[in-house]
Amino acid sequence: MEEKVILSCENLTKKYGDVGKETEVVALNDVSFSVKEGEFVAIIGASGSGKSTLLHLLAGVDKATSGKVVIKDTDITKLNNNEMAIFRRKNIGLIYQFYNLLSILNVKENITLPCDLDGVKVDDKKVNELIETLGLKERINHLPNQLSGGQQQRVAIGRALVNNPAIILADEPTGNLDSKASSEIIDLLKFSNKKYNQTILLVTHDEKIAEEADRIIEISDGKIISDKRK
Amino acid sequence: MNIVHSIAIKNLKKNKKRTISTIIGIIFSVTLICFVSTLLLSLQTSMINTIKETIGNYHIDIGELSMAEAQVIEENLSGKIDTVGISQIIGAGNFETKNPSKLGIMVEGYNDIALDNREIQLIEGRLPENDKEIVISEYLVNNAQEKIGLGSKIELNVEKVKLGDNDGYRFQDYDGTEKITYTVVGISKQTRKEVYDTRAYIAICKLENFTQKRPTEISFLLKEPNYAYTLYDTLYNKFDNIDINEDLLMWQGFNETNNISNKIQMEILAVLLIAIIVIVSALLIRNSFQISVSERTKEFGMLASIGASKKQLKKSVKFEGVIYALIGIPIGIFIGVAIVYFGILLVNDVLIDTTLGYHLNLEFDLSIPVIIISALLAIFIIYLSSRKPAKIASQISPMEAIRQNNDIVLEKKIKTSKIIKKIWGTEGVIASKNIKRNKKRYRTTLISICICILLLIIASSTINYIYQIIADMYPENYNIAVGFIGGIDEINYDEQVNYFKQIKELDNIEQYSTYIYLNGIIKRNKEVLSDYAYNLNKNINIIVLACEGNVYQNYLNKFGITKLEENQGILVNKFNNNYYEEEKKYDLTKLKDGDNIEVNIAGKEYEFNIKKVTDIDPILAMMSLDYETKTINTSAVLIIPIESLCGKNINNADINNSKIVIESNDANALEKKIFKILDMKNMTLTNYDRQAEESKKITIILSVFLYGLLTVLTVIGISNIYNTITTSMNLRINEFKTLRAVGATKKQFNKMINYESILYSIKSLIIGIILGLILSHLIYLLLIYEHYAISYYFPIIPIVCVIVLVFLIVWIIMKNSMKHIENNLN
Repeated sequence: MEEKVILSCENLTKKYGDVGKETEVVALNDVSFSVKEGEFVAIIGASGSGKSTLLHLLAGVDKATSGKVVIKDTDITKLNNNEMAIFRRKNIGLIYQFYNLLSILNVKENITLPCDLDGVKVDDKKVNELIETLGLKERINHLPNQLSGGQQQRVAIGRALVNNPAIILADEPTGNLDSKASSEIIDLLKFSNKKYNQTILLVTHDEKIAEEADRIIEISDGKIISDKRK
Repeated sequence: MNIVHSIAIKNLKKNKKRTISTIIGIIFSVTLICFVSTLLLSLQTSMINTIKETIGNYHIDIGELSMAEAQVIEENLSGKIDTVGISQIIGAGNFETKNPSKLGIMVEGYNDIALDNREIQLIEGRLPENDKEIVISEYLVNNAQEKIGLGSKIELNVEKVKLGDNDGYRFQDYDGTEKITYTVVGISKQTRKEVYDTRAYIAICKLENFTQKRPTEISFLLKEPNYAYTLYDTLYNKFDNIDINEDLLMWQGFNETNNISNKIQMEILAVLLIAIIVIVSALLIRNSFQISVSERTKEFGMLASIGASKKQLKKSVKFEGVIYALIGIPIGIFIGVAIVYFGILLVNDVLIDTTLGYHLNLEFDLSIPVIIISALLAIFIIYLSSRKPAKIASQISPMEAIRQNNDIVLEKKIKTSKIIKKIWGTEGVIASKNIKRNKKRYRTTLISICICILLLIIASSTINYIYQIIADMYPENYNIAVGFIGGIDEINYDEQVNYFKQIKELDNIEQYSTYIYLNGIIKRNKEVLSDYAYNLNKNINIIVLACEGNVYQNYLNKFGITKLEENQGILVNKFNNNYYEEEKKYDLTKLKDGDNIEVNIAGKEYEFNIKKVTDIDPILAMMSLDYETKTINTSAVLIIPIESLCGKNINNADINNSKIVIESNDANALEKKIFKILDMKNMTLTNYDRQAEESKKITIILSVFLYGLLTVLTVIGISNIYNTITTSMNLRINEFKTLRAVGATKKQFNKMINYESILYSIKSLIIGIILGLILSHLIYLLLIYEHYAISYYFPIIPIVCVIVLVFLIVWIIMKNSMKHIENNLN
């Protein structure tokens, strides 16, 4: 079966500061690659290598200086902020290092937030199943500050998964967690990758975590220096 | 409920303190808007009603018409007239009362509209329903020989009246007599007509049938009231007895082209006050939104990153506004209206015994449109204040959520002067950098403080002017004046002097001055008159002022004279004969000290020895002697002792004016004593203390109103300042942590905070005080200078108060939030 390309980027470049002047910083330099449906990709690199910039461009939260990003046949670099926001809530699940949960909403409300924003009726059965998978059944009505870091990150994963996004972008999801919680989170991501054939793109500086992925792209000084499939 | 809405509500619940303070701010501003508009509306309604009651509800009134003329006027204006009140004079009959000058009762017939619209203020009973029923005045009831009340019969031998015309000169002619028995059905306050009529009381019956011959008066309301001015101008030359009810027109909002009507003045005042309220409260509410948005930056970023659209983010902020409005506006309206309602009850209670002019009974007037406008205005303020913060929220990039710190991105290098470093050290440098960096945030605070300062200065100087104007209305050196009206009453010179003698022997008198003001004539005589006066070719008038008492004595002392004998006098030898040369004064005589002068008083010649010839005008010099004749005197004056003319058979007819003015230590007690020895008949008594008390009450109410308004605005301003400072301090917590980490001591922290408070207290004080002074001077130039002889008031006390207050408030708030931060740091 021919695997479908979910995400591809071509000649992606991002410069900061005054372009052409002394203060110019090239964060990402002419990066091209593509991700197929169901792939679990880890992007690895040292601090300052440009890996986070890459993820931001892929998520459409930052604008590229040049090049394009195509997700599910849509060139997101051509969308305006508002179209991007709507595209994102339907197609991209974002997971951050610092969870970014709304402190005023409980576990279930945080998870269903993207559906609620979309005005889509929440499929209760599916959400409950998801919460059970996440191991948060007992915590369904808790507020984020009543949860541990690992539990909060699981809520964030649930939130990313709830809309069946085309791709999940995770930015150092374990960066703030101890090793036990970290492996739980990675297991969960792998599980969703296997069970729902969920495409996942994970940014990390931790090689051990990257080893869990199907494919490892290494970035240094804004360029891809290796792209290995297992 | 929509997720966006429920997030907004949950956020409001989480930040209870700020939500409540914002809602209170909204309540305050709605309360103020409602208060100001309802109060001014009530004031306007009260004025209109008072005018309708005391002057009448008409635009134009024409009297002394023949019935035919009245009909012509009515027909000519048929399309333009709304209602016409018609009255006719029926006749007058003798009726003896305690007041000897009022000889009888004049009966007038009013048609239904006239009964409704003219100034009949019923105290008891009802309006007449036929031509045998009458309404009489309370004054007549009080003066009647026998008791008259509702239901009393009054039998009059009415001499009927018809309008005579002799070459265009109108007069009332008799038209036979008829004995009519009237029944009193109502008692009213005195009408203006009765006050002005020197000979008769007025009784009003219903006009059942018009008679062509009777003198007729018509008063009408116009469909387009503005037309009244044009109509008045065209009819003015045709009819002598035409009157335009300008007071009513002005309060109803109709003015002559070059005149601003009272209604519009009121509206300008309302708009100005409301504009200030709107600005102050919009600043507060906007600030509160801004703080909310900046505190939730991460949250908005996160929402954006998981796909909240711009619209949804904007909605989330604006929905906060909806909640504020739903809670704040109804409460604000309720409180505002309640304050006016109870305020008016209270004011009416305080002013209930006002004797000043006509009694203004404040009426509460609630207008639904005004309430709706207040609510809309509040919604507008909230919407306006939420617009920009909502836009900011919608533009927050998801990056804000992803970023792991809150460092402020500096766009420009900030320079600080070396002087600051020298005086305040590194702490000062950090503080001034902070202020410059957060310019926008500080600007809001600055504006809030400035507006408070501005208002305080303006309000206090305005109140000061009002106090001065009112103080100027009353004489300084005396508080009771008793006088006899010249010309009419039959009390001769000797009797008047005798009355004054009785009065000055009463208790409670600190000092007194008496004068009798007569007209004298100096015969044309070349030996006596100056060349200028002689060449005028006529006898010259001179004021003869017969005096006694304190002020007179002071005047004499000026010339080193202790006492004038009966045949001695002081001559003020300056006069002005030309109306157009007001400023120029000429010598009246050639006489010198020690010469004799012959003056004709009441047809007899009197000779006085002149002790002193002077230019010092006694009327100006004795300013305090007679408050009412403060005008510039254009005649020469001969001052003589009061005894000089006693026993000379001078009638009151020859006396221009006479008065005793008294400085009393208990004016009210003295007033009662004077009433005991003199009956009111021919005398006027003015108790300035009592009048001053009444004005004082009005001033106090005004001050309470202005300062109350000011206090509420200041509270809003302070809560605004509090919000800004506390938040900016909280946002800088990382900076403080760093400073602490590199070893800044508590003392250094305090130094930094103190410097910041001083820096922007000074800034706002300078701006606020300068603007306040400019505006208060403008108020002086535009409203005071032209109309009153009051000097500019430099508001030094308010300025000192403002300086102390601002430093204190800013310092307390800074200190407080610093404490809070210190607790957080440890």
